[in-house]
Amino acid sequence: MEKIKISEKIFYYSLLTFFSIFALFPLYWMVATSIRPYIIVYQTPPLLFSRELDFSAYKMVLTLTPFIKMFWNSLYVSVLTTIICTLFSAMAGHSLARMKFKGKKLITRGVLIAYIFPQILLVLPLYVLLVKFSLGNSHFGLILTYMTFSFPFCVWMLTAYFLTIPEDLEEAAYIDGASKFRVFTTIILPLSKPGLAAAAIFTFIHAWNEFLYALVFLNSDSKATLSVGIYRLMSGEIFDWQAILASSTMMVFPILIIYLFLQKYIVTGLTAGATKG
Amino acid sequence: MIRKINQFVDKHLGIIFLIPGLSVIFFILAYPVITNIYISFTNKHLIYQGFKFIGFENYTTIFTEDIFSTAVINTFVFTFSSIILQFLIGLVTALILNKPLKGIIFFRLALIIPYAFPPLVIALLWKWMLGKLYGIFNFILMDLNIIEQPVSWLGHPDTAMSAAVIVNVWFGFPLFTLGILAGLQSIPTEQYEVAKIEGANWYQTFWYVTLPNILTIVGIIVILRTIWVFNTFDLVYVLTGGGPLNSTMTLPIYSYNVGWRNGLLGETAAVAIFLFIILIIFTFFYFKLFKINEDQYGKN
Repeated sequence: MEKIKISEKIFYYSLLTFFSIFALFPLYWMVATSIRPYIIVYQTPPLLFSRELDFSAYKMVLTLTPFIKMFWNSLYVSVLTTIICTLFSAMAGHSLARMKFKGKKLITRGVLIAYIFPQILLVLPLYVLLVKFSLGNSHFGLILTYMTFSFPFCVWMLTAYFLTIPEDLEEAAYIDGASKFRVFTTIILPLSKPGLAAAAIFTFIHAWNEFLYALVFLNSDSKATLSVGIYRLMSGEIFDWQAILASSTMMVFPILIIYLFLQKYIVTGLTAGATKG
Repeated sequence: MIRKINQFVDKHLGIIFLIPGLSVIFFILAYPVITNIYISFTNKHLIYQGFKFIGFENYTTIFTEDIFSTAVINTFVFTFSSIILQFLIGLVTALILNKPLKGIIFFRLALIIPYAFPPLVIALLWKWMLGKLYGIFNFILMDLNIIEQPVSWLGHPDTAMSAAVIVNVWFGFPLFTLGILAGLQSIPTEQYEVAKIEGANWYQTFWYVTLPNILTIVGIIVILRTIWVFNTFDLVYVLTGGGPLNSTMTLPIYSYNVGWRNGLLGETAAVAIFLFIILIIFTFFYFKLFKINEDQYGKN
């Protein structure tokens, strides 16, 4: 292991500290603003640290706005999208990684192109399509549209992941007379848990955070997911920063938990297909 | 009979496994895109019924509009300044995170936090922080004697774009940090040992050992980020709405406004198609530049 000089160490730590403050300060400020008394939030110059706590913004959001309903809507949409997308993309990824058939290259390219489709390009035709099939303002319709982004991404990631699994194991199973389906469920899937976890996490986070489709496709408040709900809270008559930041904090929280505990899968997801394959 | 079905399934599993995903994709991607191309040649309206084929009129209309060219320029400025800054911060942080320092796990965790935020929350939060009256950003800068008076960062045409870029850099640099770090960690230590024996200084080591090894992953992240930033709608829309005076008007926001505010669905389709064509050119260019092709992940 290389030895690092003290002066270098100081240089590295100060840079790291600087960028960490840059990264973390907004998070701190969001939480801090939401749990302070009103008076302190709007005093000038603002206080960087305050010991006085006041959770009335949270109470207000939870009792006077449909926040809890929107939270469940978001959870429902995100979980269902995750299950469907991970399942379909694992199947498609396996097919692209292992099977030989005509038109495979075309499909591979198609997936790659699908991945770069601008959301804004799809929003209008998807709206027309959803209305035509009576899926406008429905969670099922929204879940389908979330596949536009997540499916190509997960297929890309999982194909790369499956390619890293040595084929010897499968060949041994085939010699023993196992069917392809059996090989997929008993060998490929268990060995790909990190890749599947990464795909699932990505799909979940994307669905949870998505804004444009939810804004355009869901027009009733009872169906709204968190991002639209909070946006409408902002554009309403009261512009209450504490309420906005309190609901934002509650929206970010689940994702932060995922980041804290499942960090290694996120790294796997980000780098699959780039370092591997 | 069942045996025959099983045999059939086993033989064609490759195709069968593709069917669910591909049919969804056809339904929600291929069909809509074809519809969109068609709509871009009509005068379809959001509210009024009935429409007719009008050829390239939508395209000629948007190309002659001032806001359109402003939006094109803004989109490029926003994308490239964001990507360059994100890359630089990502490279610096990744190089340091790759050193054997104590407490590195804490810093690594801290540095990826921004990427967890939903774009909507990012926009709202930074709007609060960059505000003129109560925004903490102004007070910090005034404390550091960088500015004398509070500045309305998002409310002034001269600063709004820079502010939007900073917000986007905050959000996006962690992806570069993590990606480049993964690339650095995959470099075999022998290569560094050889460089040391050859007497290379840190600059030569970086240029001849580190850089070639991380080029592929940097290339892929640059492509992905460029596409995403180019398409960014929510962040800028909530932050500034494209204003003030169109100073942050980007193509996605322009397209949204034309379609959902003015109801001109034909024109919004034309803008979206234009955006897509630029992206295809980008992607092609990058793939050539970094010698990345689909074989990399589609190979057997």
